[in-house]
Amino acid sequence: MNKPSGEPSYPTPVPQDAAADESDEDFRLVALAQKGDMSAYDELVIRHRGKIYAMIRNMIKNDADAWDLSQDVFIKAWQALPRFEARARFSTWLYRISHNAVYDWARKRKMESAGELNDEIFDREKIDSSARTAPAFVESPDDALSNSELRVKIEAALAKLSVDHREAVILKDVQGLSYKEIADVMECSIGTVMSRLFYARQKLQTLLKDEYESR
Amino acid sequence: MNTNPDETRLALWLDDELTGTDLAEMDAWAATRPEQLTAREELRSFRNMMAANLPASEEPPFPDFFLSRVNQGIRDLQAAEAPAKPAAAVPFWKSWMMPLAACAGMVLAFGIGKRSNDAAGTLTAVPSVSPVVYTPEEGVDAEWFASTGAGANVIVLEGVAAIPDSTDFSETVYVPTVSESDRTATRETETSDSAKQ
Repeated sequence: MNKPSGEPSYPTPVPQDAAADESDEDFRLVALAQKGDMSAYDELVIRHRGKIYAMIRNMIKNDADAWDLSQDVFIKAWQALPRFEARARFSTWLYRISHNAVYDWARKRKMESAGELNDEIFDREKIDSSARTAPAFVESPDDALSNSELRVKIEAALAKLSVDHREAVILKDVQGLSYKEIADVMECSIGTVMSRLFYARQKLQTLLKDEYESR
Repeated sequence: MNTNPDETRLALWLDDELTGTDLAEMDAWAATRPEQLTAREELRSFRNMMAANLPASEEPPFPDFFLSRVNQGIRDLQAAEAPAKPAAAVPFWKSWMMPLAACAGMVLAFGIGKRSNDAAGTLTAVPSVSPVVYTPEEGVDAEWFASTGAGANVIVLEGVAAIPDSTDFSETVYVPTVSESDRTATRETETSDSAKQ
């Protein structure tokens, strides 16, 4: 992998038809929701809750808090909806709110623990089991099967990255966002995104060397 | 494409973000550089591994409850924001016009009430202290006496013919039968009748 540097002149990626149709439908629903149509907003929540929940869960590795934070994202999005100007995709805008929610969550946990803000707070073993929680749920047998050994290793490797690096790699390699969208979400330059991605992938490949080379 | 691309363009090509002419130019450039093609394949393999093991979308547990919690949160938010909204600015003319209009309304209502009270006084008779006793038969006078001390009202009729002793009051006065006053008595009556037979 080549390490990117410098501020790029970024060619605008052409959206695929399906993504464009999805965005059009989002914008239509957003316009209705901005006029106070709650059922249109419900539809937006239903369309995007899976992506938001997955992104947050991959970031914080705490199912219950991810459940709560995802709801907060949609409540904050409703509050900010009048200011949404459709310059970006609705989903990108939601990722940005999620980014802030995750960082606020991390900051809050840091204050509660009165310790340093470091990556360990995202480690599953370090998470307080008595954290504010939604109804407890047990993973179904099917989910348990799909939660493969490799996934556990990847999650463990991700937990060793810094928050910024982890978010960059999750948004790019899991959520499939473009460089420009990631820069919008993380409020940084595209060059910074490329740099973070480069180092994050490099570290992950080192941590997952056995798995990665056996493929 | 004869010259080397800048790093940004290369990174975009490696991550499959280029399309159209940009992609064609970069593909032509990389065609003679196997190390770049290998790097792109490695990156694709890495992305596939990540995407295959970490879900890009995962329905949250209890999705209906999730949605209802979002709705409840929005309702709470709206309820909390409602009192905080500033009252709409009242135009200057309204600030003195509204009390004035209220006073005028009160004066008008008082005036109408007074007039209607006066008019009513001329149209209706002053009620008599004692009630008027109506007698349908000519030549009959009726007098009404009230005794508050005894708590009794007495009506005295003058000119009414004497009531003969043979008058059966039961024909003029409604007296409920046993069966009307007590539904359970029907059977007893029938039983007693049949017993007589």
